[in-house]
Amino acid sequence: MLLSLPALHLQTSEHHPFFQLPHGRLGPWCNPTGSPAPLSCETGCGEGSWILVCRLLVPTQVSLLSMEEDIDTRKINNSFLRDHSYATEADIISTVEFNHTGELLATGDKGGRVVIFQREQESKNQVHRRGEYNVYSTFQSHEPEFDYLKSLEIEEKINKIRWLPQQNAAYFLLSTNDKTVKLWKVSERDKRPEGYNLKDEEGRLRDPATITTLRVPVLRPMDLMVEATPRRVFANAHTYHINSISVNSDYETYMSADDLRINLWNFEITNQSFNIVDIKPANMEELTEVITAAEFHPHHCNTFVYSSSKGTIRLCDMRASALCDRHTKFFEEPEDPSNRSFFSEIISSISDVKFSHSGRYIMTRDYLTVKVWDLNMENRPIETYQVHDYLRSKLCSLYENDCIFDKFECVWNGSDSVIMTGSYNNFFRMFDRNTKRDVTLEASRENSKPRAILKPRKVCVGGKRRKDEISVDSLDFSKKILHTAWHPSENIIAVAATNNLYIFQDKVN
Amino acid sequence: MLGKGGKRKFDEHEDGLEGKIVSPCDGPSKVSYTLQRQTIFNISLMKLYNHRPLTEPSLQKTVLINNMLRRIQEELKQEGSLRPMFTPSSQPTTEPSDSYREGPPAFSHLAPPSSHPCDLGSTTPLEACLTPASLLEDDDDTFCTSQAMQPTAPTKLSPPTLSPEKDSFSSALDEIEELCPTSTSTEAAAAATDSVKGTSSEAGAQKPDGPQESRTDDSKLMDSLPGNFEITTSTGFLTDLTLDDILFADIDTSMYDFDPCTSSSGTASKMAPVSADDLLKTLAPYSSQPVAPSQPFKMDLTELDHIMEVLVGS
Repeated sequence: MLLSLPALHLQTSEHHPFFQLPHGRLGPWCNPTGSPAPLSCETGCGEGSWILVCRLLVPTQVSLLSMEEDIDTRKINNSFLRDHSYATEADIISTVEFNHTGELLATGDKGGRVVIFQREQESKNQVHRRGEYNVYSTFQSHEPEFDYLKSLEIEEKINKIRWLPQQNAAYFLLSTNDKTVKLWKVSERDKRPEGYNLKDEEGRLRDPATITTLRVPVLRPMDLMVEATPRRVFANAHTYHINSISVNSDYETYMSADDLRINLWNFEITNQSFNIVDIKPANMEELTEVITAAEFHPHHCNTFVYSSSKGTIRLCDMRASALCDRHTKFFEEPEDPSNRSFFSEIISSISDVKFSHSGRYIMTRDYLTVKVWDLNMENRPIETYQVHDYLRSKLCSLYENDCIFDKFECVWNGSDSVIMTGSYNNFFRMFDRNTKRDVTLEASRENSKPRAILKPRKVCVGGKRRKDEISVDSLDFSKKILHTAWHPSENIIAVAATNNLYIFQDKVN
Repeated sequence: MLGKGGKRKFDEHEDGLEGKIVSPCDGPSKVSYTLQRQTIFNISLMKLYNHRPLTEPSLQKTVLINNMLRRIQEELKQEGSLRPMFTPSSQPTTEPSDSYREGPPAFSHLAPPSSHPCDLGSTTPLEACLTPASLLEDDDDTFCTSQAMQPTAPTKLSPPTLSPEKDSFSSALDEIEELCPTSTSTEAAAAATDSVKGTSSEAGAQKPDGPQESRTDDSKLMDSLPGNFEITTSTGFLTDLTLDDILFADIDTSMYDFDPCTSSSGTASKMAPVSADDLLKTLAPYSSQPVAPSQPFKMDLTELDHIMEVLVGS
């Protein structure tokens, strides 16, 4: 029930002051088959060509808007949506994930709600409206709970959502909070049976004595209804907080990882799981390292990786033993002695690990950098990208206000040629692995005219500040982009900024 | 730095120093390294206990903060071990935490020095207090106690005597100070800011082979809070941190009188409001006289107050 933003179709391609595109055309630089896009050397990240498709809010706020077609969205943007008082903490988006086709986009928020957006179908009349996402389904996935043994609340915040590949008409996704994983089925209903014998049209039971004839119920069309039902609840398997879930490539199992353990589940069995990694020491006082993220290999159903708070990644093979405490590969980069500080360990803690679509590389995000590792080389990453190195001198303050513990995620594009991650001040960064170019963009309301081209941003680290630059001290550290997602085959990205979801796509002439 | 578009607090021409990693080889930087380490130590301690136990604290965060504290403790231990007279008493974490859980007030374990490898009796705290001041030239005695964020001390600090680098770190703390909701926290923030004024933010990790006095003072400060630290490691994550643990644990932590109104939602600017008076009470014994038997009694009162507060739920 979201208003589509009126599409202001820009006539000509604006040449961006930073990056002049050598040729007028912009080819698709994400080849669905997974091989590196042939035009990546020309278009780079497409820095000058990302446009805002739509900005979405959680439906509880949007429902207050009227449903007229020709409403002036800009007027609404100025008067209503801009009013911060409607934003509550429960609306803060905590995870974003496209499904395997990119048709659906799921978000989870701090209030335990899951909102699924669906891509607008291409139509002849409004070809420019393709690429916009509208609300498809909303449901309350998790409720707050209370652990009576420990006298502690269990947050309902959705930590992760993972889609299952579609195998029939319904969609399935896993959503998890700190303790419980749930499998949800999202299905459409556009027909309903009419003509029951024992019930009348309102559903009330009929007195059998009044029934004189029998009839066969028929299916009649009805308004499309999307319903979400919990099909499985996987509970009580984690003592510590779940930070990751990952669906296996066999589509029969999945894993859930908390701070100290990783469990392997079968989708059909909810009352037991296998523990495959356990790093809890016998004496908790000796605990110095926790698991921060875990993921299955995209093709090999026996292989998975997990990252730690000490900046290491372990690759495990489940064929080797039932309990994968001994890793098969161990990825760690030796510490750079010139950069040592009190906070070296904290900033080396990996907040996210992602396999490339090819399965050949893994990408890790620590506080200041993104690193790409080749699975065949354990002693150092093959690429390191600085996300916001200007924060290196601010680490003490960031430690004090807890920002140093922020967990940023990172994503690959469909062809593994570009990686993206978030930063502060609603900035997010893209790195083109082939051209080695990078861009900083901002997801903000002020700059979000529909179809407006995003202007690259720059942070100045000292000396003279140029006109368009922003100085490090002016950065807003409460506006952080932790969660982003990239469409599996197209250049469409979803960026979550607090309670706003921005969808950008590259501009196609 | 944390404000939304807050203006910069220091001269433009010093921008270039932001990104530099200043090596602590020169005199003032050695002290600033120690100061920064102490500040980080204090911040870490406050972080561990400033958590409204509505939801479970993040284990990752707790582990990282603990590692930080351990590392600082190790450093101090190594520095202290260079001077055999002042071997630090901080025990490795394998020591059973139960010994620190007993009712008796925080600093009573310092009273019988024989129970500790560190012979504190041979050190007069007053002397140890003075020497960092001498190191810092013009600063007066109270500076040593300002390391633990005594609010009155900073007003006597004259910034020009310390290193003139007022870098992003102190300005950032100024920003934090502005953002703090309560006055007590502002005080504490001001104390923290002033106490590290002139420190370079990136002192690097090189161990200063600085004067032993600063080490002594640090190790002394460490000695004063090893119980704290032990509790940190033992209760921070091993058992679930309940109110009982805080209540019956080493009452060192009671002095960190945290405002129950602080939100647990992890907003950007979080500063533990520390009751300055409580800190003063604790630190007074060190600055003026050796630990006297009467001091534990005072600590009892503070502890009782705290317990009463918690019970009454105020």
